[in-house]
Amino acid sequence: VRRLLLAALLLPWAAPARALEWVPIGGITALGGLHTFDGQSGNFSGNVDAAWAPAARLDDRWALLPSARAVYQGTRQLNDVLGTATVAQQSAEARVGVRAVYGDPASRWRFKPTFAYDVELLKETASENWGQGLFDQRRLTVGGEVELLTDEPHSIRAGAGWFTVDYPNYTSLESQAALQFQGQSLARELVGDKVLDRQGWQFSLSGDAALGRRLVVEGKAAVVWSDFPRQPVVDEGGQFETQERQDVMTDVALSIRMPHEWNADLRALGAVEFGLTANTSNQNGYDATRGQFLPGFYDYAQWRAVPSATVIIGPVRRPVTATLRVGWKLRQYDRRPPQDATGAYGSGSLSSTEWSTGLSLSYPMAKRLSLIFDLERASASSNQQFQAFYQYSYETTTALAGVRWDW
Amino acid sequence: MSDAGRLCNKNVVDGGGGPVKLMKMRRVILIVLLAASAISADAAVLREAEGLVQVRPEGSDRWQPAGKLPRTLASGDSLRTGFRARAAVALAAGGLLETGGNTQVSIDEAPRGGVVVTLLFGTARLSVRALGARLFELRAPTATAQARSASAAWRTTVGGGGSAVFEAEEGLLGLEDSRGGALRLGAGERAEADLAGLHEPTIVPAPERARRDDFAERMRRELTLDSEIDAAQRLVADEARREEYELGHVLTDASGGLVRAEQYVVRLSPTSFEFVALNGSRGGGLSWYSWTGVFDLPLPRNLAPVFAVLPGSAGAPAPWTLTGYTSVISNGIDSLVASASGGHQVNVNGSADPTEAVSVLYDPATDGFANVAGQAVYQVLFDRYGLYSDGALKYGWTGTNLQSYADRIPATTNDPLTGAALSSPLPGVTTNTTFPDAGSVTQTVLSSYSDGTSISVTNSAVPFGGGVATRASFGGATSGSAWQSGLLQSTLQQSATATEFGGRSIRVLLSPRILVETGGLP
Repeated sequence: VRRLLLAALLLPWAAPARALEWVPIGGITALGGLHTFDGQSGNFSGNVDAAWAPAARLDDRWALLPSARAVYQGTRQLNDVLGTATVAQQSAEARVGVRAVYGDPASRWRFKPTFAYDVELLKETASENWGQGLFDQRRLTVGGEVELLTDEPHSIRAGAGWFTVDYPNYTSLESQAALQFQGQSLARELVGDKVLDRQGWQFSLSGDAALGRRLVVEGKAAVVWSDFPRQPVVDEGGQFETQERQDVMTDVALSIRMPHEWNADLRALGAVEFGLTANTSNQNGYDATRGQFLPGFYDYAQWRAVPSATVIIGPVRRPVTATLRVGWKLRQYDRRPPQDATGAYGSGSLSSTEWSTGLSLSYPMAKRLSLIFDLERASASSNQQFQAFYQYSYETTTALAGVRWDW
Repeated sequence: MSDAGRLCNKNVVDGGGGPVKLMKMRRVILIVLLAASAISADAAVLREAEGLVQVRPEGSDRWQPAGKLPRTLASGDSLRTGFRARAAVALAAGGLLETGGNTQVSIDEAPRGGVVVTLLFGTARLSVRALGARLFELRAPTATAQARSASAAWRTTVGGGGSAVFEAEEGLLGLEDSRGGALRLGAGERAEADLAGLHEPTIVPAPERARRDDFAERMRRELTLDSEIDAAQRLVADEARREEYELGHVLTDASGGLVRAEQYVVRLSPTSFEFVALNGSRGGGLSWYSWTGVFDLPLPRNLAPVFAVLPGSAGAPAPWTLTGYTSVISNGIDSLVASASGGHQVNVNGSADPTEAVSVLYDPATDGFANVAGQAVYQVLFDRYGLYSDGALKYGWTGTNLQSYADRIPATTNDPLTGAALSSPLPGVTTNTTFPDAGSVTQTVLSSYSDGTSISVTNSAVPFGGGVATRASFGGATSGSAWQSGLLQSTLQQSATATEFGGRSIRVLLSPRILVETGGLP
């Protein structure tokens, strides 16, 4: 029976096997290194990122791209949430996805339905166990993208998708108290339990084009509308309303790249990226220790600019590349007042600025195999002086070295 | 698939097998026929056009539709194709020019019946047979290719910055760049040229391999695009985690362990509210501190002015009088409960007891300590108070409209709050406050009872990242406003144990502000 079952399962795959052409693509990056945060050092650890995708050409119009990705990060990097106090943080991610690509060869249009399921695990201290992290999350995304080929390789893309994210280990303490100590008035009415769980829609628009003969411009915009069905909005008195939290996060980026060639073995790429990330939310904050209502607590805008210069030395297929980048980020909470060292609220709006520098080097060792060196340093400052919970001002460095293998 | 890819795929079909031979034969016949029909005065004849194909006559600046085919092209005429379009042109030299989409070429006569094709951008394939001594040349922005054998065929693609890729399919080519560099390209070889000149020739991948590589390249791009979907989600998830830290929902305790914390206010009735600080740690269940205040009048929705007068009111009595309160610290099994009733406002600076006079008063709005010496300061004194450990009364007092705590009467045989008779008289108590570690901010308040029982409460200031704050960071202060200011910059870890707890303890991390406001700190 088992053999018959197996044969039945394999039959649909066997039928189109002749027409199907598949090409495995993927890569693996393994890096080891150190992360320091305000003088605290994590242990020597490593980061591994492996992706594998057996791309299949079903016919001239259809291609299918199932993919699997696994990431382990033992060394924190600048794109993490750095103001937390855990240099020993480790994270792991497993993602599977399927992306179909439909396009008539005679048409400029491409249609790409997508599906992805992603699990992220986070160990914030060495004593935690995998799978029990407070911020472990599971994400399901279903959507699609339409691409209009303008002047290859340039195109314009628009996407839309529905998602749901849940944090299996996160339940608000207040809701637990409501259950555990019922009758003792420890919880507010309408308290939510899985307050971080969210679902919603995501939209994106992106494109790139040549700007004259020497410049390439690329633009991206993404809007994520999130509904938190179990997180009620906090009112002026610190109590819950029946309305649930809703956020709209917008991320816009524009980058300009300018390649330059001195000779066959020495080329350069100058680039600069400007970006804005903004969040608006109907949720408010409430400081319960002094009855202070904080409307628009979650609204923020973050501006960024990242100029970079890359030097490319050697043959086109296997060059040595060295990139130097400088990053600037300004995060501003227009409606959140800054606090002094004890937590007293001042006037104005909370802001923080981060300057960063990064140096990356890729050195080809063999076909598809490269040595990678990466050094990042960031310095952040803020007018928020109360930093008992989250550190807004810090110095941090990450140094990584390892190999990258593509196939 | 790219236009270059379309031409490439055409060549794949041409690469071998029966149909391929047939197509080769068709191409030869086409060339011969076209060559025979060529008019010597004209450079070429546009024979095939698919999609958008336009022609610009020499000297004109306007593009015209290709119109009816065949169409004769004069020397100097230009031709361009739109997306996915293609065109085939019979050249005067007996050659054939095939273009892909998004391509622009111009065709010129050369001496002795030769032809020069200038490719500005896009992809073009040139082939020629029985060339003889005639010139057959393709000019790209960065290099030029000439047929150097009687029969030759090659494909050229001009991309960004004028860079060009030459792929020889048949015969021999001579390449020359704008810097004077030259090389010979044999069938199956490929060379790139850019502003820096010609690069070393490489072997052209087999058509099947090229097709596979092209597909792999496109899928790599799709894989990158796929990951962009996650990038926006990651921003949202990171922000959610950041918020949890900013709100103090994730703390590191004195021993370095992660503790979850939530603080909020519950409105119990129009005249009361409850402040709750909840803690949860892995495997440790919940512990909490709560303070419930009952007032004489309905409270406003915005509690900020109510919190502002909890420590006392300078100059005039507060609009609301705290008539009773209950504070609880518990781990769900054990508890220490302090409860008071009969609250009333008293000008403590005007009382007969100078030990209760207040010289500085904490302002929760600013975390400042105002000098109120000599001013009227109204604080709440309670007529009844009781401290319970796991429900057992440990200490208490009673009084009637107390104007000074010096007048309170210690409870001995009755519960001060309920009046119920106790089974045995309350023991006497001695309280000692010590700082056991000279280097760190850890305060221990030990209450020793004459019946041999005890209650010990330890307060530690926990800075960002865990551990215990140093005494130096407090300027050495162990009491007064400097001590309380130091605490306000930290998280307070309060640990309590009592004889009644049977070896268990209660530990809560919370903002020290509520204790400063309500007088909960010694």
